[in-house]
Amino acid sequence: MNFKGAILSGTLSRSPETIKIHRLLRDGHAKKTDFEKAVEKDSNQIIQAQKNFAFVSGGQLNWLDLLRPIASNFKGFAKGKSEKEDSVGPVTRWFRTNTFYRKPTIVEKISSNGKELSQNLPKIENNNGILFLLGPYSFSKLVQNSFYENEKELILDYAKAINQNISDLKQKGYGAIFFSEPSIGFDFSKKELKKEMFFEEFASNIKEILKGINFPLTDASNFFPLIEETDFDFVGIDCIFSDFEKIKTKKNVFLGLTDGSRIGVESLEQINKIVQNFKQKASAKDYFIGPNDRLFDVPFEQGLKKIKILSDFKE
Amino acid sequence: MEKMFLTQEIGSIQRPIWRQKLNVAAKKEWIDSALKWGETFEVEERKELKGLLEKTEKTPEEKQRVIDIATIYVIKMFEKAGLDRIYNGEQPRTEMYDVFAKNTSGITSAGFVNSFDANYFRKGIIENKVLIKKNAVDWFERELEFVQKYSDKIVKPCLTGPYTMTDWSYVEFYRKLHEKKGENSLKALKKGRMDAALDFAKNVLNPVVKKWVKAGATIVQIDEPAASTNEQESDIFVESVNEAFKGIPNKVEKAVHLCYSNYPALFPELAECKADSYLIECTNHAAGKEFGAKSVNPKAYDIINLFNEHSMNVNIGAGVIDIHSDLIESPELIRDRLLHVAKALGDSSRVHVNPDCGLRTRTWSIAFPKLVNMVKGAELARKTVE
Repeated sequence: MNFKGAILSGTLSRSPETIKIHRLLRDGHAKKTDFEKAVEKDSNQIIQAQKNFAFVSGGQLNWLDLLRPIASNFKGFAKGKSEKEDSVGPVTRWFRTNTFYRKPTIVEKISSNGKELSQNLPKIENNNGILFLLGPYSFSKLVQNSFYENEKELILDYAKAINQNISDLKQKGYGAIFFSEPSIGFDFSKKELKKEMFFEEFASNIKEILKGINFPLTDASNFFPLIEETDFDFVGIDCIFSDFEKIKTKKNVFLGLTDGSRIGVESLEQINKIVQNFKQKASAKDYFIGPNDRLFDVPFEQGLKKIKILSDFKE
Repeated sequence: MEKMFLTQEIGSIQRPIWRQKLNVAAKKEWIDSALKWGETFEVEERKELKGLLEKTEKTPEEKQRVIDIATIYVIKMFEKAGLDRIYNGEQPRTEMYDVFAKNTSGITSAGFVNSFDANYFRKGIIENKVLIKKNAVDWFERELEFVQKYSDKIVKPCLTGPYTMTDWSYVEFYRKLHEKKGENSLKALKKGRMDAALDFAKNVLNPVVKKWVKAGATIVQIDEPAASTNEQESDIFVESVNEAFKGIPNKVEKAVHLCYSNYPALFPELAECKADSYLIECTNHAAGKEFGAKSVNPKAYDIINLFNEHSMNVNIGAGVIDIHSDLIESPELIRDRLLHVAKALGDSSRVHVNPDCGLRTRTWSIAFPKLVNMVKGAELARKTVE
C-alpha cells in the first residue's frame, strides 16, 4: 500500500477580509468584483499551501454551497427572478454545525452546455486540480425533485451533465473530481443500507477523469460492497467513524484522518499513527490522505494550518 | 381553557440599521425610517430616539438607551400585530449562539465561519468546563423584566438550547477528557458531546430558566435548531433539554423550538422529552408552488402524525409563515394551513400559531404585515372551528 499524496475533501472557509467584503456586498456597499478579487487572493493562498498535494483545489470559495452553481447554471432547475443570492431556493439545514444551503427545485430535465462548472473555478497549473461535487445519493436527497419519476433518471442526468463539462474542466487544469456523500452518513444510521444508490451507473457515465467518492461522518466499510465494482478510482474513508478491520478492497483509498470539525491541528505523529493503524488492519491498493470532511467549518487561517500539516506528511 | 390558535412570535426580528450601527451618526434616512415605524407602532420614545440618533458620538449609556428603544419598538410591533405571546425579538442580543457563548466561561472565539450566503457566525471553542458567567443570569433576568415592564401580553423568553450550543462549538475540552482516558476518537467524540450538552444544560441554561420562572415567566422556550443535525445523537438532545428544564414547576409551560429539522430523525427519542410544546417549521419544507393561496399541501403537515403516533399529548406551535420568503401570506392561506394542522393533530385546542422561525432575515416592511396576517389567519381559523 503506497502513499499517493494528500488531497482535500471539500470546500474551505473564506478569510476575515473576504468575509468583510462579502457582507459589504450583501449590504450593497461593495462591488461583486471586489468580492471576486478577495476570493482569488484567498484561493491563491490555499493553492500555495497544498505544495506537496497530489491534487489541489482553490477551495471553491465562490461556491455559496455545493449545489448553487449547478442550480444557477445547469438547465433543469427553477431560477429566481433576481440576481440575489437567495434566488435559488429556500434555506435548508446542512449537516452538522450552524450551516445551511439553498434547496433548488428540479422542474425539467437536467442538462448542461459543458461550460458551467469551470467558469466558477480558478485555473490550476500542472493539470492536477480537483473539483468537489455532491455524490449521486446526496444530490438526489438534497434537491427538491418536481420533475423526475424516479431517482435513477435524476442521478443519471446529473452524471451526464457533469460529463459534458469534463473536457472544459481539463482545459482549466482539473484532473479529478471528488464526490462527497454527506447524506449517507446522516440517513443510514437508523436504517437498512439499500442498494438503490446507483453508484455504478453514475460513475460509468462520467468518463476520462479521475473520480473519488467520499463517505464523511459514517462508517465507510459499509459501502465498499456497493463501490468495489464501479468506475470510481478511489474511496474516501472517515477514519473517526470507520471500522478498518472490515475494509478489504482492491481500490485506492482516501484516508480522511484529520478532523474537519475540530479546531485543533493534528500532529504528524497522530497522522502517521492512523495511517499505520489502517495499514495494519485493512487492505487496499494505494492511499491518499486528507481531512475527513470539508474544512469549511473551521476559520480560514486554521484551515491553512490543517492543510500545511498534511502537506508535510511523508510516510 | 387556553385560547384556541394562540399566536406567538418565535424569536429574532431584524435589528434596524440604527440599532446595528451604534458607533456612527445615523443617516437621515435611518432617522426617517425610525420615526415612521415609531409612528406606526405608536412608540412614545421615538422623539427621544431621534435625538439620540442625531448625536455624532454616543456615550455607553446612550448606546444602551438606543438598544432599549429598539426593544420597545419590537415589543410594540408584536402588540400592534395582535400577537398573544411575545418577547423582545432578541434586540438586546447579538446573535443566538454568540449571546450565550459570550455569557459562558470556558468558551473562546475561534473566528468567523460561514452559515449561509453572506451570513457568518463567530464560532466558539470550548476550552474548559462550561459555566454561566458571573452576572450573566442577572443580565437575562433584566432582559425579561424589561419586556414585562413594557407589555401586558404573555411574555415568552427564549434561550439557545444545550445541544445547539454544543453542536455549533468546537468541543475540544470534553473530547480531550475522554481521549486522555484512552478512549478511541469516535467514543471520545460522542461522549465529549454528551458531556458538553449536559454541562450547558445544567450550568448555563438551567440557572437562567430558574431565574426567569422566579421573575414570573409562565412559559420558557428553548431554541434547538441543531436538534436533528446528527440523528445518532437524538438522545443527547433529549437528555440535555430535560436537564435544562429540571426543577421547573409543572405550571410553567416548557416549549422547544425546532426549526429546519429532519423531524423523523428525532423519533422515537423525542417522546422522552419533557417539553409541553413544540414550535415546528411547517412551511419552508413545502415546494415553491405550494406557497400560493389555495395550494396548501397537506403533506407539509405529515410531521404532526409522528407526535400522535408516539402518543405525545403536546401543544404544536405550527410554523405557518415562511421566514425566507418576502411573500406576504394571506390570512386565508394561513387559515388553511392551520386547519390542516388541527386536522392532523386531531385537537384544535393544542394548536399554537407562529412563523417557521425568527423573522430576522426579513425587513420590518415584510415581517410586520406577515405577522398581522398571521393573527388574522388565526382568527379566521378560530371562527371556522367554532
